[in-house]
Amino acid sequence: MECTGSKQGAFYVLEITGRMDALTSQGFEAECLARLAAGDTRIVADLSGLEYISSAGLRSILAAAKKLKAAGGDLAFCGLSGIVAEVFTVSGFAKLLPVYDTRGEALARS
Amino acid sequence: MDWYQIPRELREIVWSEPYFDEGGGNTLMATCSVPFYHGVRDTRHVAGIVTADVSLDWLKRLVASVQVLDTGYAWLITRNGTYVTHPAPGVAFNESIFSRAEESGDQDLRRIGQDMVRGGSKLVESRSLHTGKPGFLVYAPLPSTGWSLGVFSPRDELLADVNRLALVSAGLGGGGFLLLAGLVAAIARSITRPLRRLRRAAREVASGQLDAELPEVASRDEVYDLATAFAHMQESLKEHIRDLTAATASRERIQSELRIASEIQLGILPKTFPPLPGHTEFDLFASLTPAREVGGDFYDFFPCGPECFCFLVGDVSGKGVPAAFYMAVSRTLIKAVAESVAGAGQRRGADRHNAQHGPPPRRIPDPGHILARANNGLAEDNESCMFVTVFCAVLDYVTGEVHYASAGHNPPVLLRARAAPSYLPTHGDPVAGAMPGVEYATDTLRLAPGDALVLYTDGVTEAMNPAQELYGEARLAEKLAELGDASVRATCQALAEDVHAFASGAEQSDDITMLVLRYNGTTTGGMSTGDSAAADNTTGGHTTGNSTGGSTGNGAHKT
Repeated sequence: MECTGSKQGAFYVLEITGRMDALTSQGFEAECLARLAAGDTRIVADLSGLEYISSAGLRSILAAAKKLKAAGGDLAFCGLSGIVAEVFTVSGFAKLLPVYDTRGEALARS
Repeated sequence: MDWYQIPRELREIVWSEPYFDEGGGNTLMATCSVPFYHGVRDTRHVAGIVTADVSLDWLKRLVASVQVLDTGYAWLITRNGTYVTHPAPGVAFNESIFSRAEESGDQDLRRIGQDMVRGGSKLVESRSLHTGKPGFLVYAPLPSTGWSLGVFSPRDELLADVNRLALVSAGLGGGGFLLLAGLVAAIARSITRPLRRLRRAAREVASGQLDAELPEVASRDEVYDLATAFAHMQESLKEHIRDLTAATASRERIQSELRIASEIQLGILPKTFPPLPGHTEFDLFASLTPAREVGGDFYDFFPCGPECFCFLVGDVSGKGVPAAFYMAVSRTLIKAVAESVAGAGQRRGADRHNAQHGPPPRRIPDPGHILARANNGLAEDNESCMFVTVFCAVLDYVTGEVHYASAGHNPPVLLRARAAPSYLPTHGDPVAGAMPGVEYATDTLRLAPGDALVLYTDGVTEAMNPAQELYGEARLAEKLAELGDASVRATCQALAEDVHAFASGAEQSDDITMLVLRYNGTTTGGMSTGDSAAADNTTGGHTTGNSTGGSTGNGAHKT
């Protein structure tokens, strides 16, 4: 799994690629916490490059989302496809967390 | 008259051969004759000869007195080769160098004699006829007489000094070498003594005696460094082995604890099949194959309320000990909530019955309600952000009606008699434990006798073979269609075997859990009940729908 980020307006966009499983998912949580420490509380995770996500990956996302929320921010997602979209749907994460089709939509929200 | 004729003819000074002047001087003499002349230059002629007789005794004595080393000697010959002096008695005046050469057949001596008579001067290596020793002969002419003096030096005596010097040198060299060799050996021994002791100690250490005593090295040299390094290595080895032993013990303890934990975990899962002895309305079988000692999967089933039977399957996020803890908490909480919901329903039903005196209404516990309450319990103080997916269903085994709800779990498979297997649609309600306040939709379906539900965890559909291919939902449906109406136990076992065969040796990465429930219909009504139920199914009851009293609806995301 790889994380690359850039500031876009009020949001910090993280592009996640590769596989998010028990071995790598800590990296996502750590990255979000690092952004939080740097003052970015509103994060958009672009998962269009993500090939696979395990339950450990979901746990990592949940942990990051909770911490951002506690700091008054939020964590939104966009670009889900294939098995990742299916996992989000089946696990109900699509209901728990804000999910957008495109990055544009994710960045357009207030 | 040689003394007169020869010089007169030769017109030069002539020395006679030595002769014994008997009657004259009675001694050994040689006569020197010198001519003198009339006139000058070309016209001169010999006027007379002057002679002088010279006694040779002094010469003999002189030559005899020449002492050359120990056995060396000198001799004198005339221009004819006759010995004038010679150390051997009877040789002087009686023999010439040529006669001696002839006598002994010594060609070298003859050549030497010829050269001496010619007035040559040389140093030659030869053997003495007199003493028989090898040596060096030096000869040179005496100019005025034409005689020649020879001096013989025996080789051994001549070289004696040289030999002695060589011997002394050799002795000194050899002795010095031996002394040096001894010294070197002693030094080497003193250096290698600790090395040898170190080697003995090293062998002992190598054979496993880590407490072998190391030699003390007094010198501060490389050997000392080596011994110090070796001692350090010995200590490190001991320490390493201590650590290893401790680590092994600790690992064994953890392993043993994990084994016990595994037994406890599998022990809390119900294993009585069929689950309700005496009831034949339904069959149920479940199995759980952990990927590691402990895992996060679970299944459960228990009666909840009159003629109601709750069954569920769950999967905790992650693996290992954390997942196992969360699994134990989840399973216990869900069961407690389900029983409490069932109890509350009964009480409400009883109250209403008492109030209205009508027939007691049957209230089936609502799985969505159970999951909502369990979710609130699990989400509370959930610092680890772990969660669990649960499929929870309640069967009314009198009617075959099933109420079910899913918290982010894989959709179960519905097996209808004479129909292809189908996946139950779910609402995509969130996993339990993630956030409090979530509501879960409850759906209802009616099972006809012979219909079955197959619950499973993603360990089944996400089982991987070595080519990284997933077992998948399509394959699962296919396999279940193939199994048809086999018994629940046989279905479970055949499915487990199929997944195992698919993985073909690839390491199992997730727990594999499955639960199969087949509805048989009520026994009291016999087949007629089943038939009517089946008829009911064909007419209308096959679709699932919300059983909701409005609270669940379609989406339960409340923030």
